[in-house]
Amino acid sequence: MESEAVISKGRGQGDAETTLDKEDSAVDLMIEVDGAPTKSADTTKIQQQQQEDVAMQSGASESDSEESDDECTSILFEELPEWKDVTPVALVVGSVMPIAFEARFQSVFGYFRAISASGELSERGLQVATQAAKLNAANYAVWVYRRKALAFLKRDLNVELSYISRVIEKHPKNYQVWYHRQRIVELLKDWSKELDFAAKILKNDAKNYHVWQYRQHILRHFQILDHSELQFTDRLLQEDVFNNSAWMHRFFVLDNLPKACGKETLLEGDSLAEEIRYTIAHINAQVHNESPWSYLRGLLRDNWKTHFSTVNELCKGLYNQEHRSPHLLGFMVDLLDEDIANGYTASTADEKGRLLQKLVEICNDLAQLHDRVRQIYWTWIRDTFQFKYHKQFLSETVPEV
Amino acid sequence: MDGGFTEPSDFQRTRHIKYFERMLDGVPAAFASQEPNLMTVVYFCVSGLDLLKAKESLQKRKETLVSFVYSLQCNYRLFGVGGFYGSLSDVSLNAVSLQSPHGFLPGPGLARTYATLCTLVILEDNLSGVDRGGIRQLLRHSQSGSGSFHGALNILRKDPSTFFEAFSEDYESDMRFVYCACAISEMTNDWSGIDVEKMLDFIWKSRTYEGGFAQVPGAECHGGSTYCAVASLFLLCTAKRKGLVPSDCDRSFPSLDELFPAERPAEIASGSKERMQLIRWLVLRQVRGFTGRPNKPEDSCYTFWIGASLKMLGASSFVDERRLNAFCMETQDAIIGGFAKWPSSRSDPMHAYLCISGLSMLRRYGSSSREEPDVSDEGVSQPALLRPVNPALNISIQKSIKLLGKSS
Repeated sequence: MESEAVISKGRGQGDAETTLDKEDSAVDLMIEVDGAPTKSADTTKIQQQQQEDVAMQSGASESDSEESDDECTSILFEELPEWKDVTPVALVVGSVMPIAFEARFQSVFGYFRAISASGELSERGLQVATQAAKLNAANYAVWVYRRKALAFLKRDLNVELSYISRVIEKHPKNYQVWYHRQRIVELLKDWSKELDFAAKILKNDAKNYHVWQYRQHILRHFQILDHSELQFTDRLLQEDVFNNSAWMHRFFVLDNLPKACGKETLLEGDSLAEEIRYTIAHINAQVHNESPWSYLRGLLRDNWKTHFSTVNELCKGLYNQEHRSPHLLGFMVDLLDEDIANGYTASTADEKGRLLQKLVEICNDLAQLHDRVRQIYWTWIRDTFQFKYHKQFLSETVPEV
Repeated sequence: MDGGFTEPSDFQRTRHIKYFERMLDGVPAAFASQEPNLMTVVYFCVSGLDLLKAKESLQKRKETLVSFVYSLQCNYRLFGVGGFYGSLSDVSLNAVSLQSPHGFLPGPGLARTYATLCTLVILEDNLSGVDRGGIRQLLRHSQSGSGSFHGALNILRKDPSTFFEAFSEDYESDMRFVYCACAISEMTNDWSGIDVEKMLDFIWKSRTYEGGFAQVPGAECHGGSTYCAVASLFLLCTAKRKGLVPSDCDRSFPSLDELFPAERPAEIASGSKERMQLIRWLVLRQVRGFTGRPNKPEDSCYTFWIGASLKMLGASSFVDERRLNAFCMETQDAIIGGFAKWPSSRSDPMHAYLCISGLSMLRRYGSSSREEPDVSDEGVSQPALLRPVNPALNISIQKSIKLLGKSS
């Protein structure tokens, strides 16, 4: 096979091979410092030795990690003897929005395209892909190539996992790197490091959308969701109760946990009552926080009837303490609507009329005093409810409110 | 009236035109990482110039742009899928890859195809050079089992000489690409590439307890993904009314007609529970500018994502235009042009474009307060500063009408 020949040629480049190992061992060292050793000390030592050897040979600095990347940026692939059998595939610079690429960028991607085009799956191919990812982690082709080459060369995917961890730490908001990690972990069928890794990235930005999406994928894909995940969201909410992502994730957990433990639902009965108490405690601590109010609505979805008096007490209490947060008042509009529609506290048309009056008053206060940016919205909400109940009351031949 | 607000500084139309023109003429090395998605950045600039009414500027570049765009088209007859590449590097790679039996063949993608079609429509190309059959195949190959869509395809050579197969699992799938699939179907006037019920299932499963939509089921609802979901549903509703998709396609889901009530005035139509909750989540995003999620800072790009969602729902009058404009003006770079994400950051083409297209929906920039804005620029006593944007396609209403007629 033609490609076999190309590949063995690639493998012949010993320098390229060890350079890559060297880089990966540096990652392992780093992970080990974090308390999660992945390799025995002996292996690490050997690789350290290799690393030093290669550093001597290539004249590069001790660690060719991303931190010392600048050191090697001056070297172009065109100048390296081990690449002289490859003709780079130059980028056609278009007539529209031409990019003033730096020579290094052109060189790396020229060789990366050459390797992709020939179909060479080799150690040196991985090396050029590593360089390409350093320059542009958002280039999906780089990651597609890596996965293909890793599979062909039967590389240890644990090493790749360490590598992608480091790339993600540099580019935590990049779609491609998270997707690469997902694919690698799925191939490894080893999720043991994943939740800790996600938690670690969340430490820098607890609202990073990619991490949450990834974490949920891992929990679902490997079916490893359990009660500890609720504690995880609780910890994050203790750190920042305004973290809407953590609230959302908590809902995801409650929604999916029953399936994991063979129950019908956690969103009813005692567990729901407990979750409502939990939410109310957070509301009492920060009345103007939109997140727990929305979460409470989510919990009450089909359960207003059972928990009406609890949330009614909550709102009354806060309102009487002169709280006027738009989120409290907005919730009260829903609460009054539920009450009028279902007659939880009001049964006669007269009583319902008074509730409607209160609803109108709250909408007016929101529009004119407490939430003026949404003045027109609250006026519309007021009119919508007046219209809705006016029609209803009329049909019951009750005096107009 | 409201204390504490100074009048916003002037909208620097000429500077913004220069900004987009400069981008099209060439960008510095810092843009190298944008290379795989260059076509999307080109679309931002071209559509930006169109909304800014820079007719001459577009006319001058039209020929170059159109031939550039068509050079990115994927060869359907060769690969069995059509659509467009994101940049010339994919094209140049394919040219060489085809020479070797194991070469990597990057395929077309949905976001690039969407950006390309928008660009062609803005340039008043009649799309006669677009391979519609190939695009239909692209959509079919891109839809995942969950009903969502993958971002792009790779092409696999099954047999060294003739047979190619497209596959998509190398790319993530989420609401962004659902939107692209719908917008592409709208512009090609062909919805047969989409399994509509599967897609609806994915969209509604991604709705969260807050009332907006997430990128995937279970995740947090977000201004960007909510826009993608609302625009997809809106375009589908339009297609349903035109008879392009079965009239009962939404029978197992919340009704599209109740989500987007057809009768006027839409402003006071309340509609379904889903509609009310969605509108509430959207209007709650306004601080002065819009945020993408609760308890996050305002960001100028949501001027479009949130504003356009409200517009499609007939609820744009709930936006406090004065406060929104004041925030956007703080993100404007009045010297080099463009808009930034935040007042303290640097302008970039994406935020520049999305902020401008968001502003174009405001009355002060000439958009009519009614939901059917004026079509022509001419004959208006006070000429509008911007062409109003079609909120579902994110190109000017004027150009979308030229393509699709008045009904959309």
